[in-house]
Amino acid sequence: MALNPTEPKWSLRLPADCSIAAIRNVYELIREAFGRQERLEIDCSSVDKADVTSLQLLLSTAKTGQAQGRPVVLTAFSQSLRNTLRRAGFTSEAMIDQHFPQKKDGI
Amino acid sequence: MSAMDPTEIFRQEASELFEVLEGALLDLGQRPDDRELVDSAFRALHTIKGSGAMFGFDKVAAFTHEFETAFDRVRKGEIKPTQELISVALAAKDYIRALIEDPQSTDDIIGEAILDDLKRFVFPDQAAAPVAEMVAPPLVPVESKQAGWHLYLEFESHILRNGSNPLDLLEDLCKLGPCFVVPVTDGIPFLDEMEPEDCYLKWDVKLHAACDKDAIDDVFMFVSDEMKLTLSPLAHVEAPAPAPLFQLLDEEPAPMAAAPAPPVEAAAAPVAEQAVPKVEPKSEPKPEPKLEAKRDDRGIATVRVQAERLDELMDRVGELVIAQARLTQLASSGSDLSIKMIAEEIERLASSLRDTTMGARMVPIGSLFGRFRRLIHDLSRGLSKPVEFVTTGEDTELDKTMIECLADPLVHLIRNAIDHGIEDTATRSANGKTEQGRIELAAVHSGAQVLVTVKDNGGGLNTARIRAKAEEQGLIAAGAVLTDHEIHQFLFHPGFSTAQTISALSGRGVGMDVVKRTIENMRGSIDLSTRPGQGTTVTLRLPLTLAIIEGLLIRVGEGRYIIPLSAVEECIELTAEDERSRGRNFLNVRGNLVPFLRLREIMNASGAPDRHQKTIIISTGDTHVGLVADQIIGNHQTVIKSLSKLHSDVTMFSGATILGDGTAALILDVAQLVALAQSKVEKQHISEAA
Repeated sequence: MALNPTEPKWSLRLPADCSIAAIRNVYELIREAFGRQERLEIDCSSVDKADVTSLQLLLSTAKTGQAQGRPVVLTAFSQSLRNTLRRAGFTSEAMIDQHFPQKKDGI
Repeated sequence: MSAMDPTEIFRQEASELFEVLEGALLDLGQRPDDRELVDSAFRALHTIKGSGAMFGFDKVAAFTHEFETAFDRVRKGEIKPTQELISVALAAKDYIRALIEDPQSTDDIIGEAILDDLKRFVFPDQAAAPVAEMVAPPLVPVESKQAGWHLYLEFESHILRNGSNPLDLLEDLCKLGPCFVVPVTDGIPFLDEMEPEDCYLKWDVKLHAACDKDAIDDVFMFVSDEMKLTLSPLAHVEAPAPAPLFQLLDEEPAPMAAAPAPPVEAAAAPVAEQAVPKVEPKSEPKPEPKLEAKRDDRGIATVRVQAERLDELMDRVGELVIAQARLTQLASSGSDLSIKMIAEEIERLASSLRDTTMGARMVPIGSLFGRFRRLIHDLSRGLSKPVEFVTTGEDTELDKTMIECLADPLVHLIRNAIDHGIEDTATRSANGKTEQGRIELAAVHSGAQVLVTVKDNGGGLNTARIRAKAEEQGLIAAGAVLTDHEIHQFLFHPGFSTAQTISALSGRGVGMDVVKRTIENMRGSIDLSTRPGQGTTVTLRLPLTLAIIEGLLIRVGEGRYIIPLSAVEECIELTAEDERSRGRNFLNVRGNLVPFLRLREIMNASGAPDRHQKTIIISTGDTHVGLVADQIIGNHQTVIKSLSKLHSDVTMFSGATILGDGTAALILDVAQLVALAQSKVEKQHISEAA
């Protein structure tokens, strides 16, 4: 899990464990990245463990970005994250799009 | 104050939950129809599963999930919890415990075998089928006019920290029928305001199933105190029900891109609804009032504290009591009134602090009793002796150190009761008894003591055999006149056993002497009573605490000693007539002859004795003994200090304490003194007989 300044846009790759056991670390990292960058891309491809807290953190990140005019884009949802989204009721692409700003080519 | 390792916290919590689970399972064996027991077992399992997953014990979570799922049929009342099923469930519990406490000692094969056994009992017709498939109800086609329920789920913010997972609950809900779940995100805060472990999501659910409310309540039964559930009926569904969230719970959900079109369309309406966070659409009739389960705003009622910190606190309080005694003595020797007032105030506060601290160390003995239920269950099955285990007085509180020390003696006593006390079923039937034996474990407060009794309704002690064995071992002369009570005391002699054969449980003669020694080390005593053919009762008399006791301070020559006040019956003056009866050493106390010991002789006191000698009558059980001292000084708050290892062979004293003037006083070991007096009486009997 690290910020990568060499890419055109700063991206943050979420760690494999985004469950409640590790969510505070992820939270701190997102906050840190969020505070620094104008535009933030969050790569969700490595997420292996996700739960309600992971979804809430991504929702909050998107909400905060929107409110502050700092775009946040989520890319490459892992299968585990998709399963968790589905279990939580985000069953359709439309719903996911509404709540999680995705970079479509990244999926 | 160092933060505890979260994993260690989980282990501690799990340990308590295992006790609850084991207790519930064992009770279930006795009361298979008790719904509360099933719920209790499930709550424990559910929490172990949730917390296990949260703290990274994935194997624990996975196994417990399988266990929980298989046991679900019991919860639903579809099968009865038989003894075989309970035994397998207990084995499953042991396996989970091993996974948590010592994962290296476990093997997946064992877990699989246990689950196979569990399934064999739970699904006798489909033992080979995977559990999840069997539990999932068949999907019923949705009718166009099907009734259902509209639910709004709002969880307390801390629920995720407890290990509960709302997503699992949603899955359980979907087992009841086609579900349409819409997450409500309006409670999601901005990043800066967020506590990442809190729960902010809520859910709006339409359940298209004609199930009753109880079925829904069952889904949320373990979290009902920690959520707000708003439930209203969907009288008729005008539109065709949307596709269910899951076809089958264990089916791997298809990737979103491959999701069929209808759910996407179906999702649109509720999302729009979500903009107006109204839970109940006005179009829906409300024939029944909303069900709402909301937890009371409870403060933190208990705080988990490490046991060693309580010990440390007790030590500090002990030192404070000693310092306070010195202050009081100093103040009383002077004439400054204000110092005396302060000394009295500190004495009052120290006394109050001592009581509070000792209260904090008190633990209900029920926590100990619970352990023996499994022991009896296993022994009963192993020896093929059906035994009913009854406990009373579980709320009786005892110092935590005492509770820890009591475990081993009680294991010995209970093993003996089952192995030697309770007869086999054939003998019991032949003697007109019920086939099922009975063991009672009881605790009750009695003054400054706690009495713990182990009572069986077996055959009672065989006094003749004990006597024969004692004679064989040369402990008594053949034909010596002894009461039954005296003969029974040989059972506490090291290496004494009347068992014909040595079993895995008992018969080696190691046990009862250890029990006696342990109890006496705790400054307690042990009584034994038996009735032939009707059973045996062993009573342990224990002080409430091992840390600070009320003592009676006496003087013998120049030395000062403490007698535990709980053992003191009365104080009387040694009369001239008693003095004259030097050879016999008996007091006449209201018509009863009580042997007495002259402490001056035992302590080798120098100087002339006081003119008016005092006798303190002490007792252990039914035995009374008088101790003759020069002076009774008065009550004393006695902070017990252990004797050093150098004095480990000293038997007459159980410890020492520090007095107000800074000098030390030894604490008399009442049990040893009583034993000494009794042996003197016996010698006297023998010499008189000779």
